[in-house]
This record gives sequence, structure tokens and C-alpha cells, in this order.
Amino acid sequence: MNKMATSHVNVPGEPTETGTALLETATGTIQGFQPINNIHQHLCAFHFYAHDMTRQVEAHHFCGHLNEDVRQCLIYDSPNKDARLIGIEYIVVESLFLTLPDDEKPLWHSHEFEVKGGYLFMPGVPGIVERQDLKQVCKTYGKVIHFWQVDRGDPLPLGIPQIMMALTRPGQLDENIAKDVEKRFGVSFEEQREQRKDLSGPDHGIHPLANAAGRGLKTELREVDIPPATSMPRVFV
Amino acid sequence: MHGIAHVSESTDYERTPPLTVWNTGKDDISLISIQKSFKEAPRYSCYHKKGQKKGYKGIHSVPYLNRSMASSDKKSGPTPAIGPGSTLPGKPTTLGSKLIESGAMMLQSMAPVRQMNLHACTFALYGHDLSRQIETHHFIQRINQDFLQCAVFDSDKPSARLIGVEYIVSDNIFETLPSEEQKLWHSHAYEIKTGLWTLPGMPELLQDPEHKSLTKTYGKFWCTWQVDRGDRLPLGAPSLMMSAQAVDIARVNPELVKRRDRKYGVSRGDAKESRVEMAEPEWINPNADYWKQHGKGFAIDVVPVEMKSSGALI
Repeated sequence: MNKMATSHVNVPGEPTETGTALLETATGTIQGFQPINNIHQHLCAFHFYAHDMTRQVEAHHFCGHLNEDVRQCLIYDSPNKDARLIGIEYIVVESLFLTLPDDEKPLWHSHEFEVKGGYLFMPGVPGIVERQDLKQVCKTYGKVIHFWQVDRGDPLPLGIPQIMMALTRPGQLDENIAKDVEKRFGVSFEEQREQRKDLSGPDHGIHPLANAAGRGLKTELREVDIPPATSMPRVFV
Repeated sequence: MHGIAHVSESTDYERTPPLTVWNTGKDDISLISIQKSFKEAPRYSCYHKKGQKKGYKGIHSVPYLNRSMASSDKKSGPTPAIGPGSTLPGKPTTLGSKLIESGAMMLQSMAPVRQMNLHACTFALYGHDLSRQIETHHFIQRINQDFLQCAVFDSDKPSARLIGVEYIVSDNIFETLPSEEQKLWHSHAYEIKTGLWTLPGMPELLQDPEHKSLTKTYGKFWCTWQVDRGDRLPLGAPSLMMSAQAVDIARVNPELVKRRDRKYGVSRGDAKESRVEMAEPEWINPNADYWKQHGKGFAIDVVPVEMKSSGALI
């Protein structure tokens, strides 16, 4: 059973004290935030857990280019000020995806279906501009990890990280979630599908190992022995 | 456990995945993969022959997935995605992309990311290998007096790589967590009191009030990109990180600290003096910094399972 992604569970804790708030206003003005300022784009899409397609999450990506071929995104559960930081996505072009070890490729998913299907969109941006970028995104692969399972009502980020996947076929996305997002953002996935007919996916097709090679994936925690102390910690400079 | 439905070309293949060698050519990818060592491994390759449809040939079965592939504490075999200095692969951002971004910036509200108003620089240790230590840049948003969420980067420059997320909770909140959960968290008192944690650009005195409230907190930090071991792209399962502690194997390499302090004009003397006065937390929960009492760290494995679904699969 899916909860609507906008379940308003409050994060436990006391309201921020005035002193703290004032100080953080100061730091906000004085310090530098260049990595954050590199984030220029808001994308909305849907993720599901790599071991459970029935658990689906509305994911708001705030993305920046590291270069033309690699993007990195912070994922929040809403586009609002009180949004919770729930995950990370990395996006790479096909040629870089192909350099990944075979062990790694299953953790990545293709974007072709969700872009062509109209499910991935840039809120507030007119279609014609949006499509300029989606033309590129359509050919990329992404890796998504979520740390906070807001869809099951967790008030805090509990447990271990979850590998997430993206839509790859019709019939996967929960109807209610779809309608809710369409309504709140004033979009129509069907309309978008029409407009995006000329977009195409990766040049070599979707790699058979991507999207967990059609299987499910789960993360597990394992205890390891800590290596004994050396005289000086190693540093890879 | 592997799922082979039907193999069209070869017959059985060995339990380990094929070794692939990439030939990326000059501008475009020609022959993608060559099987070596495993004669009967499944093959997929892509050819740029004229008139021939591009695509992956030779696989008609569900590809084999390794049990516990991509573990956070294991390094992959040789691949172009790993290299000295972890230099980022790929082409420089094009003007076209920058224009799209400017357009987006004007039309979209970036409200969630605008909430981060605190930049802290500190050091983190890999939970499965405390001798591997990295300088981290936390960009922090306070949700309330007891909870903060941080985007963690490997530097504070525009080229900084997003390497993970840390959540910080007060001791009050921490005590409400089940012990299985507490094992994944680390304490902050030591790194703050010793000045490892600093707020770049802020005079030490102004940093005090923030540090007073943070000394008693606990953090949970997942690292998604192990840049210090040469990963040019984010590989593997996320890694649990730990904090420096007053124990030999968890002290940060002084060279790392010196280099950071020089960069930001942090004077060791200043930091330690004003912070020595800060109240020590009376008690640090022994479930945090799990390795201290138990000599064990944590790693994350990714394992193949049956997907729970209601309908169409991939």
C-alpha cells in the first residue's frame, strides 16, 4: 500500500532556538556555498525500491553538472522549504556508463522510459526548453540511493541505504501517485508523451545489465573486522 | 544464486562474471566488450557495422548477477572508471547546457537547497577501514533544534563532488533510537573539541555557540563516492563513515589536518582554547562509535533478490 509521498510526518525535535537561528543566518551570509550554488535545476521523477516495485516515491532532484557528461543531484521529498533530504542521484552519459565494471552496472537505471513516458519533468519550465535538456537526459543512466524511507512514515532516516530504480515499462507507476503529481504540478504525462515522441534513448539501446538486469536488488549490512592500527594512517593523496 | 532462463549462443557459464575489456576508440565506441578468460561466458557486444542495427547481441537470458556485488568495502577490478587522482571523466559542460541551466534557474524555485546556510569542514573515517580518512565539506540545513541534514562534498569549490549525506541528531533524539539503529551512528564531541570540525570563514568566537550545541550530537554519514581510492565515478554500495576519536587508530593524520588548517587559516591554538572550555557531554552512548567497544565496522552489500512487483517487470 503506497502512502502519498507528501505524508506530512514531522521531524521530531524542539523548534530552533533564536540564538542558533541568528547565528545560522550570519553563516549563511558570510560563508561560501559554491558546491550548492552549482545546483541549477529541479527535476521531478518517481523512484521505487530496487527490491519492491510496489513502494514508490515522488523524488525531487536538485541537480548540477560536474561536466557535460556527469551530473549529481540531491533528492528531496518535496520542492518546499521544509523538504527532507532523502537521497542522492548521479547521472552519466552512455559512454561513461559503459566504462563501469559489470558488478556496478546493475545498480544503475536507464532514463529512456520515464523521459519518453512524460513522467520525468522540470516543474515550472516550458516544454520547449525542458525538451532541450530531456533530449540529453533520455540517453543517460542514473544511480539513485535513498537514505530516508519517508514512504513508510519514518520520522527519521533509519536503517541502511536503499538502491532505487526508475520506471522502465508502462503499468509500473501507481495511478494515484501519478494523478496526485499531475494535479499538483499542473502537468499531463500523456500530453508530454505526445510532445516527446522524437526523443530517443541510449544509442546502443538499453544495456542488459542496467536496471538490475531485470532482477531485484537489496542492500544488507555486514560486520567487518577493523584492520589493526598502523603507526600512521594511510592517506591517498 | 543466478537466474538463467535461456541462453542462445553459449551454454553454461562459470559462476564469476566475464572479464570485460573496453575499447572506447577515439570519438565513439566501436567494439564494446571482449570476453577473456572465460570461454563459455555470455557475450554482449555492439558493432558499428554499416547498415547493421546497433544494440546488444548475444544475450537472451537473464544475465548472471554476483551475490554481494558492489560491496562498499571491496574494490572492483580494473576499469576506466577507476584511475589515479580520481580525475572526473567526460567532456566540459557545453554552452548549451549552461543556457538551459540559466533558464531553469530563472523559472524554478530551488527552495530546498537554499535552506542550507552552514558550511563545516571536518574529517571522516571509513567505517570498515579507519585508516582511510578524508576531508569533508558539509553543507548543512537545520530542521529544528535537534536535527540537521547535510549534503557532503569533497571540497568547497564549484567542482566539488557530492560524496554523501550526513544526518545529525541531538542526544535527546539519539536516546530514543533502537540500539540496532544507534550502531550506525558516531559521536561528535571529540572532533569538535579538538578543532577538527571548523566553520570556514567564521571567526572562532562566532563559531562557539554552534559548537556548543553540536558537541553533544551524533551523526550518521553515508558516503556514496569513494574519491580517495581512485573512483572516477561513484562506484559500489554506500559506505558507512565514522568520526575521529581519542583512540590511536581513529586519530586523523596530522598532515591532513595541517593542510586543511593552512588552507583556511585555522590556528590550532585558537580553536583548542575556546573549545576546551566547552562542557563535555556527560556521557556518550556506548552504542555509537560501535567499533570502539566491539572492534568491528560495517560494510554494505548489494545482493540480487526476487523483485516484489504488482505487474510488469523490466
